[in-house]
Parts: sequence; structure tokens; C-alpha cells
Amino acid sequence: MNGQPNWSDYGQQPPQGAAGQGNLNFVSTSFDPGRAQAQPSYNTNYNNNTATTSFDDEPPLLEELGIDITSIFKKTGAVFSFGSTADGTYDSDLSGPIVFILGLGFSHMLSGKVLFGLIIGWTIITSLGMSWLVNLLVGPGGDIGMYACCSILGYCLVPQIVLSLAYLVIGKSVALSVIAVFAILWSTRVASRFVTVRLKAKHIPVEEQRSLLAYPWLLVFSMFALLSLY
Amino acid sequence: MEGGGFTGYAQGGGYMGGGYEQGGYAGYGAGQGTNPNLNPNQPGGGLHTGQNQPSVSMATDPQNFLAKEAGNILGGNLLGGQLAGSAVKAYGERAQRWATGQSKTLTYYFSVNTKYAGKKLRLLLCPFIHRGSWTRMPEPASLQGAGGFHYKPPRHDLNAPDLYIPLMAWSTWAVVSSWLEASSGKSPGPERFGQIVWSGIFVWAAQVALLRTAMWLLSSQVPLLDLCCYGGYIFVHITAQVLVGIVAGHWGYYAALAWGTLCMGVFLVKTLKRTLYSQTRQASKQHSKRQSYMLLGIAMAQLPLAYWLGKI
Repeated sequence: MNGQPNWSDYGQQPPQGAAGQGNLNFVSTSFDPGRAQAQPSYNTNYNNNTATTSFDDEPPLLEELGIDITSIFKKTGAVFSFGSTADGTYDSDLSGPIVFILGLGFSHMLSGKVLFGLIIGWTIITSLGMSWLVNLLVGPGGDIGMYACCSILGYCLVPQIVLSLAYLVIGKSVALSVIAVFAILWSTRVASRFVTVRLKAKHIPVEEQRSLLAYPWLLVFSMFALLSLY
Repeated sequence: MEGGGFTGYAQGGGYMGGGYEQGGYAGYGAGQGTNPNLNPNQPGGGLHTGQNQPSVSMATDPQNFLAKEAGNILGGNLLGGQLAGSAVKAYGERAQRWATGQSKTLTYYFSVNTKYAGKKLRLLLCPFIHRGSWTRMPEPASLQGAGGFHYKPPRHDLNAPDLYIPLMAWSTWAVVSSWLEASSGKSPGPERFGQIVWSGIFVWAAQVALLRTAMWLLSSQVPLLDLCCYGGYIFVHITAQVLVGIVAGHWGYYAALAWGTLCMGVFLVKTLKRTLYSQTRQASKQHSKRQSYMLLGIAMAQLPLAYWLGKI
């Protein structure tokens, strides 16, 4: 009864008096389980009675949502850099990828194709498939969850955004095909780099499977490039 | 480089010979009630009741979230236990193990490395110049676990079947076909991709059905996943056909088709002959004649399959 939501509570007046004020406990979820644990429950008042939390005690909004801007910039920078990721770790988050997926969709819209649903659907399904495949290839003990795969895919869509913007500027030509090949290989390389970094953090030897781990990403990004070009 | 904590496949995580990993098929009818109680206000009602996995959310345990949810749904605890027959439960648990990569049966087929993949591709594309033997190597007796006879995993044995190459070959063929169709203007790319993928699955299933029927007629017990692997190797040839067709035009395509089906036929015959021989010790003359005809039939059936897919 204390704060446990009961089906019979909805639609009824919360009982007055000392027994309760109809508190609802919220457990906030964060986008970034690698960094923050689930936040402790906050008391919000059903009846808008006296405030029990002070405004100063609450953490900043972005931290509460689990969006870490510096980390997003760092990972986006890693996409563009030719060396390995800066500090050898990869913590996954989905806020950067969401921005890039929307960016890809918008750049498609600029050339007349509305493909948001396709992009999002393909992202989900291919990350499912990729995480399953990597899980099986690497064997027991190594596992990238679907969350990390989604995150890796999202960050590696940056070259695809570059490609679709190039399609706007250049139009279909041999130069565009060259850019397409370059963008696909670039995405693949970054994705396999992220994957190996993550696996190395779990102390799994990946040396003899590097090409095998990278090849499916090549196929995935070829399909995304197909979206941009046709 | 298998040191440290990665015990992996060096010590022979062999495969279980076919069948179910779990206790098996105990039949339906173990449901615990007659009325599905969908009313959430009553105790024990609602959709998810019974022994669910502890519910995890994506935030707390992203690695296992999807697998556990899939296991919950498939494991048959819906509708107050109506679907909790032990067969459904067994399937659900097996599905969950397969989905998370804990199933030894499945991971056997994926324990590959780049060297194996390279050698296997060369073997598939030109089986005539292979100098070594075609038989699979069994695990040494000291490493044989319980539950059936184990062979060495693919990374130690070139002749072991693996699922990575067929899966990748099928995906490659789907991607290449979609590109081809889109660039030749026949259709907008993304929509055809789904149809192409399904055609591929259909052909793969037809292959497996063909092989399975043949094995059944010859009364041998090759595990189904092995047949899926052998059947899926045709996609390597189909991809090669399509790529050669892009480069060399019409005649190149047909030449590659002929070469590909020939190679696939030879590969299947040589592999399955060893498999059959290892299963049936008594080789009566009539029996082996039937085997040979069956194998020849399988080899010849590769051509229509490859032709059909290449046209797509």
C-alpha cells in the first residue's frame, strides 16, 4: 500500500489522511546504463501538496537523462579520426545515434525520399543480427549486447550522412560511386574498430577473427548506402 | 592465440549429435488450468503470471534484456499457464539459449577464424585441386564429452561444416542482387531487398529439404544443422555467378553458373559420401549403389536452384 501502485487506485480518489497521499514512485531510467545506475525513486505528489524535494537537490537535466555531451563528441570525433579511439574504451549510448539517424533521414528528405521508418527499422534489425552474430563468433564470455551494437551502428552512420549530402551536391556520377565506396569502407572500418575495442576491454582475443567480424558490417553499410544512392 | 581466460574451442566444444539439447519432447497437456484469467485485479491473473524470469529493463541489464523477454514470451508463461506445456517450454528455453549464444550446439558452427574461412572458400570455389583428405576429424578420445560423438570444430578442421560462411554468402548475395536491381533501374532498391532475402531463405530451405529427404531415404542420421551448412554453401557459388555476370556479361554469367554448380555438386558428393560412410558401417553392394545414385541426384539438383536464384 505504501506507494505500490495498485490497479484499483486508478480512477479512485486517493485516500486522505495519514495513511497516504497517493505517492507514486517513479524509477527513472537512463539512456546510459554503462555510466549511471538506475536513479533512486523520486517522490512526486499526486495531489500537488507541499513540495518534498527542493529544486537545488536535483541533478542537472542532461545527467538525469544520461546524455553525456562530451562523450558523444568524443565518439563522433573517433569516427573521423584515423587512429584508434582516444582512450581505448567505448561506452555505448543511444542519444548520439538518434541524432545521426534523424540526420540521415533528413538528408534523404532533402533529395525527396522519406525513409525514416526504413532506417530505424533496419538499424534495429541489423543490430539484433550483428549482436547475435558477434556473440556466436566470439564464443562464450564475449558478448556485445544489442544496445552497444545499436550505438555502434548509429555512430557509423555519419559517413552515410556525408554520402547522402554528396548525392545532393554531385548527383549520380562516377565520382559519387567513388565516394560511396569510400563511405562504406569508412563506416566498416570505424564499426570494426569500435567492436574490437569493446571486445578487447573484455579481454577476448579477436586477432584471428578480425575480418570475420568486420565483413557483416560491410554488408550492413552497403545497404544503407543503397538507400542514399537510389 | 587462445590463452588467458578464453577456454573457447581449443578443448573441443564439440557438437551434440542432433536432437534436442534439453530433456526432450514430453508432449502437450500439462497446462495448469482451464480458464485463462486475464483480469489483472484478481490474484494470479493477467497476462504474465507464473514463474517469469525476474523482469529486467533495458537500463539495468541491456545485455540480457532482449533474450530474457524473448524467453519469457516463448517460454510459455502467457495466459496463466495455458501455454506452459513442457514442449512449448522446451522450445522457448532452447530459443532463448540460441538467441543469447549459450547453446553449444549452435556455437560449434560459428567457431571459425579467418584462415579457415579463406581455405574453405578456396575449397568451395575449386574443389578439384584439394590435396588433403575430405573426412572430418573426430575429437581425440580424451576430449569426447558425454552425449554423442564429437568432431573437431571448424577452426581446427577444414572439412567441418560451419554456418558463418553460408550466412554471409546469403547476405552478400542479397545485397549484391539489390544493388544490381537498383542500379539497372528495375525497381527501387529498398523494397526489393526484403523479397530477395525471402527468396534466398526459400532456396536455402529447399536445399535443406532436399538433403534431408536424401539422408532419410538412405537411413542416415546427419544432424539438421549440418545439412543447413552444406546446403547454404551454394550461396557462395551464386554470389560468384552474379559478380562474374556483372563483370563479364551474359556469357560470363552462364559460364560461372556451370562452374559453380559443378563445384557444388562435387563438393556435396565428396562430403556426403564420407559422412554416409562414417554412419553406415555395413556396406552392402546394393546399398552403396543407392547411395551413389542419391548423391548424383543431389549434385544435379544444384543446377536448377542456382539458376533460379541467379535470375532473381
